Amino acid sequence: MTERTKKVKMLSPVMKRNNMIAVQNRKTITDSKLLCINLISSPGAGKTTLLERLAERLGGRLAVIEGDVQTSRDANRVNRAGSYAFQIETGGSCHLDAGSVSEALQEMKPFRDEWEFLVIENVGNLICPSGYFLGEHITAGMLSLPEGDDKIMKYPALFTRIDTLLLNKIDLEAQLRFDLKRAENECRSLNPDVSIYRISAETSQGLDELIRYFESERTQVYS
Amino acid sequence: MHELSLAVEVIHMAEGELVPGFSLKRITLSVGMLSSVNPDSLQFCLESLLEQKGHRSVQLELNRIEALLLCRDCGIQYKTADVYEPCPGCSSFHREVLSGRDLIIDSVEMTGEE
Ligand SMILES: Nc1nc2c(ncn2[C@@H]2O[C@H](COP(=O)(O)OP(=O)(O)OP(=O)(O)O)[C@@H](O)[C@H]2O)c(=O)[nH]1
Ligand SMILES: [Mg+2]
Ligand SMILES: [Zn+2]
Repeated sequence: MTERTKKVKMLSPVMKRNNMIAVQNRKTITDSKLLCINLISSPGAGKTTLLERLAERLGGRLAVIEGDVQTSRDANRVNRAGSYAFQIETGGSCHLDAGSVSEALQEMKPFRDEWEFLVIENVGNLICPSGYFLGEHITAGMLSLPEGDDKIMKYPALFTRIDTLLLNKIDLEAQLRFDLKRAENECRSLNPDVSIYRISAETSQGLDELIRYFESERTQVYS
Repeated sequence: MHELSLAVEVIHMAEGELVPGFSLKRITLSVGMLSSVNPDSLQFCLESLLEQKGHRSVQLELNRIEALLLCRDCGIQYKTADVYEPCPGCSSFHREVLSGRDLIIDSVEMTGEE
């Protein structure tokens, strides 16, 4: 018997297992012709308020997965506004992963025929959710004006990855010194193909355009 | 604090490579600049978990990897540790991230008798 050392070259992304489950999620979502959006922002940026406004407009066409640390408050809000909402209680976790979404999808079955859009409200956090692909078609990052126009460069991991930037609380523009052009330019400098929408979940400004964007993305995916 | 869930996954993957009779000796990781992983926090989580799971004196090597960017204006690729920096070729900010987003297990070393 001799003491031996072995070295195994792996070069494996630690997200490998997450991403494999995410690919299965994508298949489940695609089989039902849903367009899936992963909505990420800091706490209080307005994710649930936006979902309430979308629920009022889309009703039965929208299904929502809520990732709340505790309580099912956000799911109840979306429900009252007119759309189906499924609650994942993350039990303290700072992000959703593909596995928890996969379990939610199983429990949501059978999917309703009328569903066209599935929005996943991620846990309020600009850092932790940014590495976890859930199977979505569109990763949307929301930044609200009161948070400040310097946040894009402070959280590059998220803002280089998103497909869509939602600048929310645009109704407060007059009261705040938020340089919209600066934020938009900084986001494009990290992420040249990002699409950007200025919205107010409070006054519904910009929401018709946002819904048209989701509709046209869905048409593209399933045509 | 998603570093804890990442540490759990790293150890799970490393254990998956273990040959019977061998024990973990070293884990080498590449931490991408844009992975949103804090190396110190990951190291701390790994050390705590390894000890808890009875893996003694495992060496951890965490290497920070710069981001690789592609300039959309002049076409050069460049590495940077600082995404505030413009393209070194043409000073453009019009660029695309090619890599630097991942946390990767490069290799696992183990010792044992055979
Ligand atoms: N003025 C203004 N206020 C808004 C807007 N959107 C949301 N709010 C307010 O912002 C606060 C937080 O909104 P939520 O929708 O609960 O935020 P959230 O992102 O879901 O928060 P978490 O789920 O806790 O991460 C509420 O008081 C909303 O009324 C907006 O467009 N304009
Ligand atoms: Mg919410
Ligand atoms: Zn250039």
